[in-house]
Amino acid sequence: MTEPTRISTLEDLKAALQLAVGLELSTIPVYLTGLYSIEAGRNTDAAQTIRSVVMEEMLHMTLAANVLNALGEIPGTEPVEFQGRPNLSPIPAYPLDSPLISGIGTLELLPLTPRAVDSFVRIEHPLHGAATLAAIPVQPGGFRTIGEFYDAVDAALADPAICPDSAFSAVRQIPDGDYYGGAGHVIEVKDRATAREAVLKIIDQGEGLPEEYLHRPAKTVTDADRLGSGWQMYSHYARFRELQTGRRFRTDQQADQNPAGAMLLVDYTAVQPALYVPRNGDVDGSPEGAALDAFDLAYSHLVDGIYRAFAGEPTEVVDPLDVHAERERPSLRRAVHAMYGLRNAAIALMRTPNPAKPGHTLCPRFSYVPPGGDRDKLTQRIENRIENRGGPNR
Amino acid sequence: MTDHGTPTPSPQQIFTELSVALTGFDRAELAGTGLIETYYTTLLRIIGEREAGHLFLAAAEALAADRRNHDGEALRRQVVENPRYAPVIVSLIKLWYLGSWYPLSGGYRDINGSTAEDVEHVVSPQAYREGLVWIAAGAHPMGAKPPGFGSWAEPPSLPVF
Amino acid sequence: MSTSNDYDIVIVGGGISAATIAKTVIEKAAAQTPPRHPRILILEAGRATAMSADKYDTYVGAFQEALAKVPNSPYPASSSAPQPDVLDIGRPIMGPDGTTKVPSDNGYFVQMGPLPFGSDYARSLGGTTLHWLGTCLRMLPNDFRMRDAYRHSVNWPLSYEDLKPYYERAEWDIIGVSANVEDQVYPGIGGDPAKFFKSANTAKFPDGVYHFPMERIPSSYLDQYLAKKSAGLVVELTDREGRPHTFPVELSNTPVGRNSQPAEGYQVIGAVGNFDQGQRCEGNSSCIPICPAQAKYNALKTLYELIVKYPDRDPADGARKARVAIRSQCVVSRVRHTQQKDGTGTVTGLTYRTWFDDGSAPVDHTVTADTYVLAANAIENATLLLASGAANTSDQVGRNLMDHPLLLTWGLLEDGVGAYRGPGSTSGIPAFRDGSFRSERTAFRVEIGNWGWNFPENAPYDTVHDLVGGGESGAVGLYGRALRERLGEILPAQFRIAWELEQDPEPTNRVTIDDRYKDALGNHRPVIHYDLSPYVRDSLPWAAEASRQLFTQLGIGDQVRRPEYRPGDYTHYDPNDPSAVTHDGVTYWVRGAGHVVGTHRMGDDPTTSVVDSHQRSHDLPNLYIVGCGSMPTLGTSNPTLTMTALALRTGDRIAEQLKGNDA
Repeated sequence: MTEPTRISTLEDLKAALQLAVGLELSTIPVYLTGLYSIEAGRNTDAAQTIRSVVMEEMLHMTLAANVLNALGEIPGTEPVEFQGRPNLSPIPAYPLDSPLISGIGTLELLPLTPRAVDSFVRIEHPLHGAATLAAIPVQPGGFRTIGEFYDAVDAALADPAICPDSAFSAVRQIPDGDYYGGAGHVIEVKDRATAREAVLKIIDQGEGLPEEYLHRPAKTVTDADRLGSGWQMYSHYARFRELQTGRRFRTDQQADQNPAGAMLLVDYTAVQPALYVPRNGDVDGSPEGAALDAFDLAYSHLVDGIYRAFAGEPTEVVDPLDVHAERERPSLRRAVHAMYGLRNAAIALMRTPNPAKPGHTLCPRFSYVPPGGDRDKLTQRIENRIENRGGPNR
Repeated sequence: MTDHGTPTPSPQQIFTELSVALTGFDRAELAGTGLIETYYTTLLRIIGEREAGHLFLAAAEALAADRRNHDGEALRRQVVENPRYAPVIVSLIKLWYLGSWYPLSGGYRDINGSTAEDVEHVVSPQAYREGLVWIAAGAHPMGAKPPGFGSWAEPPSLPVF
Repeated sequence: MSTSNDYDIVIVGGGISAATIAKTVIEKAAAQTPPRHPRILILEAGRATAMSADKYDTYVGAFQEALAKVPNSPYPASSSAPQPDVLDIGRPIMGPDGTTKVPSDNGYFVQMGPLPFGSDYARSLGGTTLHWLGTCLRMLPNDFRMRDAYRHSVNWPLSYEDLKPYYERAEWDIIGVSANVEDQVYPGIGGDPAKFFKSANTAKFPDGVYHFPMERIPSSYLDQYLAKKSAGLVVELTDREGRPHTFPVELSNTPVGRNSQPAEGYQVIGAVGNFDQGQRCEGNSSCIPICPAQAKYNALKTLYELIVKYPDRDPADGARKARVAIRSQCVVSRVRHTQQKDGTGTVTGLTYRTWFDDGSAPVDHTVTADTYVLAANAIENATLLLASGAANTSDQVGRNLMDHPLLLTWGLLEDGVGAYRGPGSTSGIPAFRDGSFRSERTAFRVEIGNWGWNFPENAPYDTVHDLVGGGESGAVGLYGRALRERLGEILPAQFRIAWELEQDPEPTNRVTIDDRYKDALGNHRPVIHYDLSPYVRDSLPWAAEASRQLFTQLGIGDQVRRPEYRPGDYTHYDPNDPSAVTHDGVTYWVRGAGHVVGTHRMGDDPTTSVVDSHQRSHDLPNLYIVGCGSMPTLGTSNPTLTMTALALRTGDRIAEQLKGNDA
């Protein structure tokens, strides 16, 4: 059995955590594409399942950022060097082959189909669907599973030789009160113990699940409900297995068994036939192309906003009626507004026929365009769209 | 009808283009509501396919002329201000903006008769949610598509989507 | 059980008072020595549609599909448990002698006039909290002592200080209120909100420094705009003696039962059966008729907690626990009792009819309990008591019906301020809530509305109709980009204010019953006599004048009317509207605020009041008659918070007096 990659310097640990923030981000568009492809009011149980996982991925992203900030490093979108491998971007582009986790396979943006659900299960499976860890090819300086990756992160965090106590301080922490809408709590990291607690939380809820968890009861609670009224969350893997099989787990079952409880109704016909087409830079001048561009621009602003929140920086909002008004806003609050807007935009795209692909609708690309020349051009095109909309009559 | 040898657009395409010109929303924005097909069939059910055929022919000719001339004059003169079509145009615009069908106005019924469905009704919950008026207002439908905690404290803006 | 009764407590009605009392009794009784674990039955007349998130969503769908999106539009009506609807409000025809010639009875209410009672309520599990706005203002100290302070109306048997601890519990333990103390600057509190809110519970609030369980809901952009534009404005109004009264116009963020950023240690309660939804107000902009996210408190949340924690079965582990049963579609038709005319007695049971939607005949039941609680809404409590001939030695049952008669003023601002965004209201102008003028005319609260002309002009619908055309000519007005852009100019600049007047108690404003008017189950429909006293009417010109001074300051003093659109004051009152009221030759529209109050008022004197300060019947000691009906006067606060505080106090009392039937 191959020794997994070890993280042995503080620089590598920080790079690993930069990539961890991006890793958590990278699953969100995958799940959201499935979620938003569901026709309004249909597949409510499936939607609730996916949504609950997405909310926890956002929590994990926040937890990774809190750990990184506690180590004195500001989370960023810039590529990092890790294990001597330069230029690893934390920001996902789809289809995504993780530079970090070889076992996870290609992440694609798909509407809710059996194939998409299979990929959800694969992402959240402790071995990403492989029979054994050894069956997963190793990449130098990489990891076979997400679990292996977080184990390495945790081992490094535990090691005073890599990060002494003095390396931790409670700076730029996203507080728990800022997180809502999903299970779990944000852990504000101030020292080694809380840093490890935060990483454990990611592992426990989510896709870093150790393999032995498969042999535990499927409904092992990862986060009890905040109401005290009986709502409980179990692992992402178990939740997606229920979706995949169309059955709920019974309370006496293990996570590696076939769920044998009540039926979970999933109607794959009540789903928009969205087809992902990568951004290729061409501009065809069509309203559909402009709508896809507008989505990418908004998504890019959203990613920037989230990273601004992690950096502890405010977002500036100019009041057109009052130039003297206070401009600084909490970035996370503004980013959440952007998330609500993107949801509506994604749903609209997935209802819009793709003129070039009969039988298919558009699919949001979740394509991050970094600030600079390309971003400026994109912005200009969107402004032109507003000018030209609805024809020349006035 | 053929315009410089281009293929005749389908009735649904004409309906879509007409809707774009009448609403000020582009094709992707209208398609994003998921309601083009619904509203097409609503219109046909209420005014009848025969009258819709006349309207679509007039609209297709006018829209083609307007494309050549880069203005909206033909549509305005031949369709919007045409007393034959104006009441239908009014109801169609309101349908897109409000998600409800409003009965045909003016003397339309005296000339064309009425149909059982030509009464005020909300087409569907989705039609309500996708009413264009909310986007035009820089808002969101009351009771749907919420913009998030504290968004109402921010300066208003009209959306880019 | 040691007694032969079916339950310890039976509660009639499944709204916020019922939920509060059940929860309070259970928790209080369990903490007593020896602990008690009561069995409670809640009888709801209407349906119990929404005890899970997806079922609640069916309400949302019904609302979205409704043609007229009135407060009760999401909640299905039934002829077996009918509910009033604002669409049914019609004007009764009065004879020259002031008697009713033709009542308006096209809805549930039989309106005897001279004015129609303009408010509604919901008969469904959760009650009217399903469509309340969520405003949670405490009453002011003088509101409890109107007779002493202003020689008008009556005093309460309770003071603000008496009720304060219960206000705190209502804000924390039941509703969950979002506000910041420092924003709460009201007249009549001595200028210092910290003192007004100072808590005696120093264990929870060190040094008595009170804070709400959640941060304020952010004030809307409109609020901020109005605050800047009206800075320094002092409204001046003249009383009958020619004395000027001045009212500084300062906006105050309104406390609301709507989820926001929690204080340390406070657990935010989201949607019923869907834990992660509704943790914050998301800005659905439809608190009335329905909050789709359930970020706004509704009584289903408390009821759900009760049935999850205290299910109506013996606990598997043998532990002693309270039990709560909720039965819907059960309309109580009689309070059975031993009371003779003008004497006292006890309640011996309740008769109720269970109705079905499948065409089968309703079934009658009788249920008994040690303690009975009527919590069915002020009007329903009154009709039930009148039909039962119960608890009315004072002859006050059904009398002193009150509401907050509401005057709307509205205008088009010079700037787009983003109307139709956010909760229905986030701020008010408290200046007119108290003052020496209350000896001659009534106080009022000013609510700033965030939803454009939705209330006064059926906007944005009618705005679209105005611009697009149609009508007699059938001609098209604006279309295409021009239409889109014009709507983008007009709609965000719309705003309205509601001037909500305190109504004083009058014995002639009353709910009665009449055997000619019954519903499908044979229960009496409310027959309502209603008018506004001169004390109330005298504040209509004041509110209108205050509005004019404010609008002038905002630069929109010009009178304009649709379909013309330019900045200006669009306020106008058509004399043919059912809500028209003429005072000193001027017509106003006076709408209902949905605050149904009075009808079984509390007091120390059994000859002038129906219940005591614990909402216990003077006549029938095992009967509590609870809710807004117990309020002797209304103040200018929306009544739900005060009703909840009263219910907590009643719950404590019932728990103390629970019989030792648990050994």
